[in-house]
Amino acid sequence: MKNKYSIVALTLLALFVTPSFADPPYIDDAYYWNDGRHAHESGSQTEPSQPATQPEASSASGNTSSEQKESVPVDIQYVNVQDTTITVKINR
Amino acid sequence: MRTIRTILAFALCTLSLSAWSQDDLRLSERSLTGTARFVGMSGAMSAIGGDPSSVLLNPAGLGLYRRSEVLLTFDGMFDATRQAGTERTHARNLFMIPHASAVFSLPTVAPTEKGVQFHNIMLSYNRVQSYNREMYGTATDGPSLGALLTTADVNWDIPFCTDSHYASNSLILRENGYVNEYALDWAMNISNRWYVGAGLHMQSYLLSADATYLEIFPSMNAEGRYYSNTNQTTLLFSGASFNLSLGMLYRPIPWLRFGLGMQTASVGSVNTYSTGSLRAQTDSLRVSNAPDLRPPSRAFHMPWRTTASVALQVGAYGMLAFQYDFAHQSGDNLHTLRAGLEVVPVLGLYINAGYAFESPFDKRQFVVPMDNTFDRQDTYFHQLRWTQYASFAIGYRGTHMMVQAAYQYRWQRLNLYAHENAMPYDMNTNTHRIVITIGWHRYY
Repeated sequence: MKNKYSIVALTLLALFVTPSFADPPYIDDAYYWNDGRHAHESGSQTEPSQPATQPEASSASGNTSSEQKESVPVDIQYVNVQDTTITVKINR
Repeated sequence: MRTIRTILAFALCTLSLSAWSQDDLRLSERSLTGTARFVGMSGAMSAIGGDPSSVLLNPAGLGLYRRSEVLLTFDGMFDATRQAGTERTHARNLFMIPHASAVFSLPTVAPTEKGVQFHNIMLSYNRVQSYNREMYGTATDGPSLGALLTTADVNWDIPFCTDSHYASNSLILRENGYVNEYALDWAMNISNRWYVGAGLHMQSYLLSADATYLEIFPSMNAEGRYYSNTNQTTLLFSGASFNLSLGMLYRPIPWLRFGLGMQTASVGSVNTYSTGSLRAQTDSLRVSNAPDLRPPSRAFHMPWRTTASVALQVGAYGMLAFQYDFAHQSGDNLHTLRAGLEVVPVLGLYINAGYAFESPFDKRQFVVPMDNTFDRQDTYFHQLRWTQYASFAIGYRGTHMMVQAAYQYRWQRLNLYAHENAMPYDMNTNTHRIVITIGWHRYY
């Protein structure tokens, strides 16, 4: 009876273990640095961490970095879209 | 509201109890089991986290999860107990599923690494203790149970042989049973630096102990039979309790982390059933069956447990952890020191080694005196002296699946007493344990 159980257990184990070795290796969660990146990733812990998201202005309007630094609150009066031209009136 | 008041009143009542009996000591025993990684590290994972078994004592370890995961563990336990200085070994095997868990990892939409990054929840089942032990002790020329009974006012109504010393005696004790823990834990990851967690755990207990004690005297009756006393007993405990756990894990710098966890005393109630029979061979053979005793269920509480741990991370290549665990009950303390090593030589391959030393409760005050209130026949009791564990594990973690196997060797020394005045039997237990954990995970 015990042999029967052993055979079933070993078969199940083999069925499980075999495909798991074809699985690409996974990085354990305990090995993430304080910045949320894994220790394998380039830069490791000595570099300052990059913010997770870029400031929205750069992707939306393509402004230069010097312009991004001015964080002047703007008041959009109206937006007019005609063909390929977008007119935005703002109050500074 | 009324239920909460009842629970609080019950908890306060049970915490105020100071009785810490041999029964409670039996039920408080825990063995080092869990996932293969946890067993491989000898439990030194309070500061490492990211493992379901480490979460029980330090729920903050759940905060490290960045994936959802289901784990299942299989366990084969091969136990052999021998009295020091003798050759007779009593072996027991046990196969079981000591752990199953499901972790649900819920990433927040935090735009930066400041603030809460993950909320994680875990449901788990854990067999925290397996009673699977057979002990046999024998001795020559010691103070007899019969003599002890002359000074104790008990309701045993047959004439025992009351000679003060036996010529030889033996005790065989068989224990079966378990302590299961069902846990709901929660933890969060704050800024990938602080991790805090809490848990609500429920335990169920079942323990049966059968013992037969025989003492033979030098005197002989007219038929040429030696005088003897035989005490056969059966004990059965069943109960339930619950406790809370709190923990935190802090990573001030990438390669260093600290873990601190606490588990409150488990409070609950236990039912005890005892029965037995006494046989006295003097001039004639007399047998008396003890009444079945089913006292009303009583409140009990298990020790408070705390853990403090430090771990060093060496890049992506491994970790080294040291841990001190402390259990406290009614002025008595139990200390455990653990050390664990994890090496990751290539991505995906995990190799662990660990060692743990567990002291007994300091005061060793668990002699069970015979007195007027002692209606039960089980006169035997034991005192743990120390337990040591050495372990090794190897595992592979894939993107979707993981498998890990561990081997654990346990040495345990304990003194087994046949009764209050008896000289102890020096018992050695050696246990080999094979643990295999398989799992599926999904990460974000």
